[in-house]
Amino acid sequence: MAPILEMKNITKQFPGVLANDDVNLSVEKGSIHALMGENGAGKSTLMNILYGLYSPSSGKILLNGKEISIDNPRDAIDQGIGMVHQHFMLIPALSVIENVVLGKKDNKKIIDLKKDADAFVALGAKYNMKIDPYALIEDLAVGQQQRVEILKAIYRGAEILILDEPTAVLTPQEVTELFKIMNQLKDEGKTIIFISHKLKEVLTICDTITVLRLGRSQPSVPSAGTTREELAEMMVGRKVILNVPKGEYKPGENVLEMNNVFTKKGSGSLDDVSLEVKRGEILGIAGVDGNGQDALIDAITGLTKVTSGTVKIKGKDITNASARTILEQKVSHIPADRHKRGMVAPMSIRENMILVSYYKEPFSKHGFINWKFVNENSEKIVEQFKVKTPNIDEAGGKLSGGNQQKMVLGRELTRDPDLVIAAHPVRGLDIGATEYVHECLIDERDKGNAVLLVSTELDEVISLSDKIAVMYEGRIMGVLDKEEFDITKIGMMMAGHV
Amino acid sequence: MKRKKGLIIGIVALLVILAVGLFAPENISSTLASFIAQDLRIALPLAVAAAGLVYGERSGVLNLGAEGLMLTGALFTWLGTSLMGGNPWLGSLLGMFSSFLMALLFAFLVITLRSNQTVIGVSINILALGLTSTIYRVVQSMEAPVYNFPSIAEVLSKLPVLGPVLTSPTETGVQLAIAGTSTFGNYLNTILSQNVMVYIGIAFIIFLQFVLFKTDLGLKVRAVGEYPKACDTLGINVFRIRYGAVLFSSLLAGFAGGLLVLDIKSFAENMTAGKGFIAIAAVIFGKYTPIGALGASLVFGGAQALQYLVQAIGWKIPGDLMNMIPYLVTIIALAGFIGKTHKPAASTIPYTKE
Ligand SMILES: Nc1ncnc2c1ncn2[C@@H]1O[C@H](COP(=O)(O)OP(=O)(O)OP(=O)(O)O)[C@@H](O)[C@H]1O
Ligand SMILES: [Mg+2]
Repeated sequence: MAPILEMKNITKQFPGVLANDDVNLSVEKGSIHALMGENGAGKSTLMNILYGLYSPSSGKILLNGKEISIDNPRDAIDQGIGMVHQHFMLIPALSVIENVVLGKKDNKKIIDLKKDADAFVALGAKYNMKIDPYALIEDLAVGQQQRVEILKAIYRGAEILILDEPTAVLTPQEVTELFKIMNQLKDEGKTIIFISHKLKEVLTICDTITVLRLGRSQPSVPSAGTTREELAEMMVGRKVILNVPKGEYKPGENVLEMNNVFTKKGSGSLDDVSLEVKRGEILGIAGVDGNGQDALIDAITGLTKVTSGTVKIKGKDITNASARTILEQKVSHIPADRHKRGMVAPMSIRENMILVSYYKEPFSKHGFINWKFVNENSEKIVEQFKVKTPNIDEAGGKLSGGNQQKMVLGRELTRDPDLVIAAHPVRGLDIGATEYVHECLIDERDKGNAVLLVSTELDEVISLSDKIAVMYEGRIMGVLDKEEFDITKIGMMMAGHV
Repeated sequence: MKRKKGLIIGIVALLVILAVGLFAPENISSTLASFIAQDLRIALPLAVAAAGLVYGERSGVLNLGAEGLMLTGALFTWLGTSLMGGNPWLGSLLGMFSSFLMALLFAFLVITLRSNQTVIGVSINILALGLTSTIYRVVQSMEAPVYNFPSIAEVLSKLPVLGPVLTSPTETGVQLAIAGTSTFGNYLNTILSQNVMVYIGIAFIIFLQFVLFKTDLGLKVRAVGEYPKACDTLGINVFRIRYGAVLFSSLLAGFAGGLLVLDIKSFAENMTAGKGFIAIAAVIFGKYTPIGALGASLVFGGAQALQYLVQAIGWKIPGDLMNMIPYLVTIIALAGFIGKTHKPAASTIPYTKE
């Protein structure tokens, strides 16, 4: 069968970064084609070129064997190419249907939203998706927003659908739903390009896999018959340890202690939470997203008001203390939403590196920032955590998704913490980096520090934690010891059954 | 539900106005009528400028140079009208064109070159003040008549068939036929006897509201001010929309400046005296909608019209104090309002493609 899409000898040079280096990609019609590779390997860049957002420095694109030129997204849409971006391209203040019709070429001057809404709802029903077309995007959960993005692309007549890391922010249930939709689209003869860092997912859903390494494409392989280990090695260029070994579990005194904590009523607020995390221990928080994990972290880090109960760190009562006071107790915080809380996108990497400590010696003296020290320190972190960037003056927002995460991690873990609070620390990270982060967290534990790990990836929680607390509707359903770790049991507790 | 609140306030206000006209004693009703008439007259230029600025703001460009654009429009409307034998229509065209050119400079600097909008906006004001004052000093000796737009009665009287029914002649011209029929007739006459531009202006503002919320173009304008990158991925030309919105709003700002001139039939240095800024305040107070901006302008205009009300009632309040009121009301309105309204998310942030 002839390929529907071919990208030939694509090269893209950004100032100081060769993001794509003579890349070749050939995609069969009606297949699900995986694009994999480490953070910064150039996956998003390649797809943005296909979608007309970036223009390639050289190379050509063939659709059904004919060379086409794609100068902007409009051309791509006209050619039947749709893309769901790594960071959603939806306008929060507008309604679902307004987002769907925005910029559509066949819109009348006066738009009939009702007509489009009806057609959109009908399209959604076909894929078993129920979405209120008049709801505002900002009121939708991430999973729903993603469904809007997918339907939006199909509604515009996409035959080739690019999904850039669609599962990074989804819960396991939502991933299952997404895969159903993808298979249905495939059965209809649509073609999907799927980007993911998760080996298991790729091997389940995809037909063919192309790996990018350091901007260059490796020969494609069929997913049938390929193992996780082989795939990992293709991406990283060396053997990867998928399960990091840990030292013996030797718990010390309590670092974090929460007693009967409640937070302001609302969805996902804390409801009588008591927890402790000891030195030399990783406590994993398992639970479906939105069941109080955010409030839990906010209550500990001083970002939300605790209405009753106490939070103690190393025996000191820090209930409702300011965020700075809490961080100064040697608490490191790796937030769930790095864009909102972890970094300032337009600021340079070196500025992002001192967001927490800029006012302290040796970062500054008498109110003046010691740039010499800051620069050296930032260079060191960038190197240690393998943040891929031309230099530390690059804006944080220009980094690839995974590298932004490494930047935040680097800053937080080099602050010599006693307590590490990590929310979804490997979200969007490639397997090499995931391995590294897991090593770091285990290293903190083995050094005798306390780690609170929040993750919706059950596999991750189980393999890293010494104890697991399961959260449901703002309550702790129970704390399990290592011997009691059992996927079915945890799954039941996550759904609210004790 | 939220949108309805404004509508309800509007309907209640209209009913109160009607009730006062019907049932209040003559001295009260005539005082109120002239207050409303003054309010409309003062609010018109603010509302026109603000309704235009809504478009710029919605597309993500905060034009602090509105004051300068109005001032430029004012001078050139005066010049144009004077040179064209007093014709306000042609004069206004020149005023709009001058403001357009000024806005072109602004747009190029802040959209294409991505300069800081606040700095450039303020510079535009300084530039306009210097430019208009200089030109005015050169040409001020020009003695030429300036006429305002015709009143509604004058326009109606020219209608075939309906003309004589709706209007009646007086010694100096025409008036609305309802004048002099009863206390209520006089009351309505005072309120309705407006410059025809008040009617056209209000109709146009309603039209702008419709375009912003019901058309493809309006949707694009709103989207670009929220998340330009997302618009880019949909094939919308962010730069074109922003240029369009800013230049369009400059036409209205220039026209609004001209209205100030036509109202007093002469130009004076720095005659806008902060009206551009009040128009920006009206945009915010009006929740970034054209009709909201009209409502806000009526509130601010009312604050100024209070002077006439106070005079009519005969209270002795120092004039300087009265002059402060509109600015005070603006500050209070904004202080109580900012934060409660949704500002376009990409406001004042320049857009880059890669
Ligand atoms: N607009 C840009 N300007 C400069 N450099 C860029 C730009 N966009 C991407 N890069 C660089 O190009 C490289 C490839 O980035 P890209 O986003 O394609 O990676 P990716 O494979 O999608 O990674 P991830 O898995 O982390 O999302 C990175 O080194 C990144 O820093
Ligand atoms: Mg990417």
